[in-house]
Amino acid sequence: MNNNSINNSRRNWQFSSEEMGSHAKSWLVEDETAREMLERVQTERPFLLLPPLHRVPIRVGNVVELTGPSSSSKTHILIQAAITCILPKQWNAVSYGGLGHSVMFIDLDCRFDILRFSELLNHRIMEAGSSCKVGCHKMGSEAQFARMKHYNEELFASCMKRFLYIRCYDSSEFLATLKTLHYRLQKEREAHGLNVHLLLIDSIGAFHWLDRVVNMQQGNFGLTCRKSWHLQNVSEAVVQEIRRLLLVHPMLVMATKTVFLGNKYSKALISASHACDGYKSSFLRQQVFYERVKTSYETINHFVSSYGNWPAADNPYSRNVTSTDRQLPYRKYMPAVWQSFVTHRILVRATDDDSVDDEHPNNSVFLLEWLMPPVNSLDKFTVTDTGVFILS
Amino acid sequence: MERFRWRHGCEEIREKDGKKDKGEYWHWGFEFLTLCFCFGSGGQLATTPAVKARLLSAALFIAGGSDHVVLVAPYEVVEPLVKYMAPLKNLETEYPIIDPSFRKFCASHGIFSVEDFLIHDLYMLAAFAEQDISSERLKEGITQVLSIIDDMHQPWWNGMELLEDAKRNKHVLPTGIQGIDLLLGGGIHIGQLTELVGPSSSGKTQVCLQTASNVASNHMVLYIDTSNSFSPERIAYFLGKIIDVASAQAKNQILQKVMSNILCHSVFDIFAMFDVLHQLESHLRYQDAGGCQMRLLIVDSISLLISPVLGSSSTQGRALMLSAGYLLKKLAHQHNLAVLVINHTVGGEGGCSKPALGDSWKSIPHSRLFLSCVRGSNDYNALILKHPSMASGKAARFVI
Repeated sequence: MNNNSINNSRRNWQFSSEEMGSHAKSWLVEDETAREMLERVQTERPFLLLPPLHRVPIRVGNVVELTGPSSSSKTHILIQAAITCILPKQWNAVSYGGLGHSVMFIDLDCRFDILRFSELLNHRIMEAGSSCKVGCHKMGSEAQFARMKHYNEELFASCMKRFLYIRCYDSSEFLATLKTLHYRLQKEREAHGLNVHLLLIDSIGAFHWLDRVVNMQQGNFGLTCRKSWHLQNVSEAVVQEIRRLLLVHPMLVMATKTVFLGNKYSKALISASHACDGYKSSFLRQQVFYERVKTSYETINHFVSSYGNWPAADNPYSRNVTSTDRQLPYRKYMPAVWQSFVTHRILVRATDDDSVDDEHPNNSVFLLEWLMPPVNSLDKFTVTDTGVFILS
Repeated sequence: MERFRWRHGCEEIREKDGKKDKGEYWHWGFEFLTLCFCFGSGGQLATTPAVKARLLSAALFIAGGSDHVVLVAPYEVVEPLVKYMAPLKNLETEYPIIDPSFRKFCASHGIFSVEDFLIHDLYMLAAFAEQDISSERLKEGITQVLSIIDDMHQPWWNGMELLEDAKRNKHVLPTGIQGIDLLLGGGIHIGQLTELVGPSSSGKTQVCLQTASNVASNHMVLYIDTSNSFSPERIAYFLGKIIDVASAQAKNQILQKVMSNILCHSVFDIFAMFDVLHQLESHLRYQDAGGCQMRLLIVDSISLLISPVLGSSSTQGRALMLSAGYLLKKLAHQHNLAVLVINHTVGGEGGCSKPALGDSWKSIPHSRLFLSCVRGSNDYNALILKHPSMASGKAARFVI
C-alpha cells in the first residue's frame, strides 16, 4: 500500500498546473516515516549473511560475482547459498535457519551434479534435525525414528521442488531463457505461490570465446540498421534483461566467473625479475646480464602498460598473497557493461596448505577475498560433506 | 537473362586481431527458386557450426526475394537456421500473425529474424508498438514471437525431476580396472565428461580399451580414434579374461557378439569429428528405446584434433575447442552417454608437465584424471585433478 501511494504521488506530476494546486496538499502528506520504511525494507529485503560470504552483508538487488581459477569451489558456494535459501526457517518444530524461497539456477557450464546437491541438502536436514533432537527428546522408539525419517523425506521433497534448474548450451539459449524468465516466474508464482529470491548463474563467461569468433560485417547485407550478433551486443542484451528482471522480481544474483591467475606473461616476468635481481646483486656480471635485462624490461613495460601496476619482484604464483599487493591478479575479460553491473566481487582460490584442522584431513583449503567492497582480510574455508566449513 | 546467371556473394569474417577468414556463397536466382551453396576459404566450410549457420543466413537474406529456397548444407546447420535465423517471412505460413505489417514494423527497428529479437529490447519494442495504429495486433505478434523464443531454450526442471532422472538414467559404468573404480567411487559417470591426461605411454589408451571391453558386454560403445591406437587384439585379450565359458566355440561366439557392439571411427581432423558426432546425435535421437543402447563414447586423443587449430588463430581455435566440448556434454546429458576423452601433456613452467589444450579447456570436463606409469614396475598411478564428488589429490595405483 505504501508503494501505491508513492506511485500516486508520482502520477500527480502529470496533471496540469491548475489541478496541481488542489493536489499539492495531498502530495505533501507523507507516505511513510523513515522508521516504517526501514522496517518494511528489513522484512522485504533482509540482509543475508551466507557463509562463507559473511563478511559483507548482501541483500536482494545486489549482483555478486565470484571469480576464481578453475576448480576453486565457486560452484560449491553457489550450492551452499541455494540450500540455505530453499530450506524453510522452521518446519515441524525444528529450526533450519533457511529462507524458504525458490532458487533459479542457470547452468551455462553444464557441469552441475544433482546427486552431490541432494547429498548436501540431506546432510543439512539431518544435522539440523539431530542437533534439535539432542536438546529436546530422546531418540527412543522405532516409531519416532520412522516418523522423523518420513518428515525428513517430506521436507527434502518440498525443498527440492523449490530448486529450479536449466541448462544453456550457447548464448542464444541463454538469451532466450532470460527473455522468457519473467513469464516463467509469474507462472510459478500463480501456480505454486513460490517467490524466487536467488538467481544463480554458473559461469557467466562460459560463451565469451564462442561469441567473440562471430564478428561479421553486416554492411554487405544492405541492412545497416541490423544489430550484429557479437560479444558486445550479446553482453548488453544479457545485462539489460537481468536488470529489467530485477525491477519486477527483486532477487539476489550470484554469478561465477572463471579467471586464470597468472598468464602467459608471467613466465617471462619470473625470468625478468630474476634477471633484475641478478643484475642488481652481481655488478661484475653486467655484460652477461645486459641482454637479458633489456628484453626483460621490454616485457615488463609491455606488461605494465597493459595491466597496470605489477611489481616485478612479486611472484605471481604465490597463492597466499592478497591482491592488494598487486592491483589485479587476473585479467578482466568480460565486457565493461557486465563489470559495471556487478555490485560485489569476490576472489576464491585454492591454497597450497593442507588443512590444519583435525576434523577435515585431506581436504583442500580455499582462500576467499572480497575485492569489491574491499575487506582487508582473507577467509579460509574448506568443503566437506556437509557443505562449506569456515576455518578462520 | 540476368536471372539465369550465378551470382557470387562473399562475406568476410573479421576476427578481433585483424585476421580475416572468408566465407563465400554462390546463389543462383530464378524467380521462384534460389539455390544456395556455402563454402569457406579452403574450399570446405572450415569453421565452427555457428559461423556456418551465419553464412547461410546471410545467403538466405540475399535470396529473400524468392518464394522457394533450396539449401545445400550440412544438416546441423539447417536445423537452427530455418526457424531462428531465416527472415521472418518464412514463419508466416505457420504463424499468420507475422504478417507484412508486423514485419515492416520490425524491420523499422532493425529486426529481421527471430534471432534479432534476442538482442533487442522487447519492452522498448512494445512501447513503440503502443504508439502505432494497429498496436493490438503488433503486441499480439510480439507475444507470438516470445512463445517461439520459449521453444528455443532447454526445458526448466525442478530438483526432484532432476534427481529422478539422475537416479534412473545416470548410472555409473565400471571400467573393469579395480584401482580406478575404487578411486572414482564405482567408475565413470553417465552424463559426465571424464578426461584422462598423461604423458605418452602412461596407460591412457589401455584404460580406454579396457573400459570399452567392459562396457561392450551390455551396451554399445563408440570409439573415435585419431591416432590409430584402437587395437581389436587388445579388446579380445581383455574380453578373454572376463568371459568365463568352458568351450572355445561358445567363447568365440560371445566374443563376436560383444565386439560387434564396439563401433570404431577413424577421424583425423576436428571437422570430421564434428561430422561423426552430429551423425551420432541424429542416430540417437531416432533410435528405439529397446535393444542395445549406446552408453559409452571414447575420443582417443582429442588433443591431437584440437592442437593444430588452437595454435594458428587464437579465437577460432578456442571457439572450436569449446564447441566440441559443449557438443560432447550435450550428447552425454541428453542421450545418457558416458564420455571419455584422452588428452596429452605439454611442458609447463618449471619443467613439470601440465595438461595440454590450455586453461579454457580446464573447465569443460566434469572430472580429470592424471595417469602416469610407475617406474620399474607394471603399475600405473592415477591422480584426481578434478571430480564433482571426490576430493582432488586422491591417488591410486592400478594395473592393467
